[in-house]
Amino acid sequence: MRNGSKVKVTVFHCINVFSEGDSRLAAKGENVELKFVRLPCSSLVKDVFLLRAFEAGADAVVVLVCPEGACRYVEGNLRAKKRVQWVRSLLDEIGMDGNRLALFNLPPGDSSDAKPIIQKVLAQIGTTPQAELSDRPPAGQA
Amino acid sequence: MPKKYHIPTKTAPPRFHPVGKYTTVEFRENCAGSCRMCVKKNCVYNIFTENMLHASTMAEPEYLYTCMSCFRCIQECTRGIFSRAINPDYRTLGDDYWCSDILHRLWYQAHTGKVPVSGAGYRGPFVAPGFDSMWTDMSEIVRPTRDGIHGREYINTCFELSRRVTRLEFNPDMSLASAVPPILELPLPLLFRLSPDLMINEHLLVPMARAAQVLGTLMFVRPQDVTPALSPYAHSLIPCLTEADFKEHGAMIGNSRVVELADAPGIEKVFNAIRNIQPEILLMVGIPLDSRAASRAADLSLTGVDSLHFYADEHGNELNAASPRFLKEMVREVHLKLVENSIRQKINLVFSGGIAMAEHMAKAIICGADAVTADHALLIALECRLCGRCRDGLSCPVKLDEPLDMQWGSARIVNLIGAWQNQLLELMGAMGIREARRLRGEVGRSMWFEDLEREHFGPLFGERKVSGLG
Repeated sequence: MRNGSKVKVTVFHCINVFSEGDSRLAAKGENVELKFVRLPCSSLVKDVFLLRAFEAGADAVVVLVCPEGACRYVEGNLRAKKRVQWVRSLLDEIGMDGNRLALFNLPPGDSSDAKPIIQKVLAQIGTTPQAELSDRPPAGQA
Repeated sequence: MPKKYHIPTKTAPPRFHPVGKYTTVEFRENCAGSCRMCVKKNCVYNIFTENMLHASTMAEPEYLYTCMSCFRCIQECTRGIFSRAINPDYRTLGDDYWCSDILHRLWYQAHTGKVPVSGAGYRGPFVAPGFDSMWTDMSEIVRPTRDGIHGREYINTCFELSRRVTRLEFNPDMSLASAVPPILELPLPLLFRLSPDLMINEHLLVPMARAAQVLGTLMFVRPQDVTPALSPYAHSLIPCLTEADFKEHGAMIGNSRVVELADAPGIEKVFNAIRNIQPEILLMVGIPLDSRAASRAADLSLTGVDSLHFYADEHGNELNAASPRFLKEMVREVHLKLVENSIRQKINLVFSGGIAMAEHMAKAIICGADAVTADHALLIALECRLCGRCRDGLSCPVKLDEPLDMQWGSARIVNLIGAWQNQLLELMGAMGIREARRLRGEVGRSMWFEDLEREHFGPLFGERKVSGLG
């Protein structure tokens, strides 16, 4: 995270989780810029898109997928999970800290359900220097 | 037999990858083309190969812009792992009138110049507001000839912008005694007009004017938008002037065939002044399409005006009304008012606003218009996404605010109008009408939902309590 600039978080989400992202998901007064990327199914999250988000300046990338076993396209969320794990290992390998990328399972609903998750991610990257980010993922995280 | 009016179309690919409608979702990962009969190779429309270059940039998931939704790939995949999903960004294109399907089809027509087809057929509602509550009677449809629409007998799509004399008088020596006004016949009942609601600049106007010249139609322009780059196309322009400023634009009037004056009380008093500048000029009056439009049309038709041009809003709705009526009702009202006053044959009616598809052109003519104007459709042909960023002073995602290749731009517009003309010919052929002027006001060749509902369900369920379509 760069001092003095906004924290950028890119959220990839399946439209079956929620259809429209709401930039007000970050708490009031927080210096955060949220970018939502809607996907018809989370299986369309390719590793290159996740890496591109970091390349475009994201401090963290969050992938929100349907609960396991509830994917409309059978295994879309499982495939997304595999890719996220793969990209996390890549990030670790190049010293960027894989914890900046996280995947969460969310039941279908509106985007407000994602608020605690965004808050959790923000708290993690906003309060902890990059090198000291916790290894322990939040509940439900891949 | 006269030479057929033919629009030369030529493929003009988009500069930016359009927002594709479909993507392919694969249920499982155990494929990788291992069956060697991958349906992606066998697509009859070749969409996967065409999309390869874009897909290789990995800029977005594989959204397929040219997919015809025939679903052959889903049906024929040997592993049964294919499914189609709709791009979420596609759903948010445009607005409730200029919806994503209309934008997508307009892009396709501007790209290929071909009539759009859809393998999945029509899956929309049976009836919807606007032009979708009106159907054309296709009872004369026959098996297309071997040559398709071009093999049919001649179908004339011409209309006139000039005033007509209803009765000719002759001298005793049989020479013509009546003064016959100049005649201006255009080959297609469609004029161009770039709406000031969105973007207007020279980079857009020049290709449009060139396309108008190629097609033999005319384009409305505001005098402040006319630049020296448009001077080669002056013959294809209709300057939109006012009572106050027409004297400043004498040169423009001298170079034009038609001029439009904004409606104002006593506007007929300046007709002679304009005809003194250019005696052969045709006069058109621009009138807002509101509740007074019909009575104003009746008044102006008694003056020396040649045509009347009515402006609805961008969605084809009546202006200045709390619950606006749609274009088709408004066209009908104006047309019938002139019929009632026995003056409809003398002048021509052109309507602007809400013409988004080829069928709208035919339906507006059936309601009583002589011609319509294409506005937003022209911008969409140049890849506009109707995102509205230009209204907020933001940059255009498809760079319409920067210079563009004039040849490419005019080819896109010619392609779009070529596809529209083919659809008009199809419609008229199926309706058994061989002359666009014969189609005007021919409501007997159409069916209206309100009438059908009243006639068929009215006796069973009584009158509809809620106005409008449910």
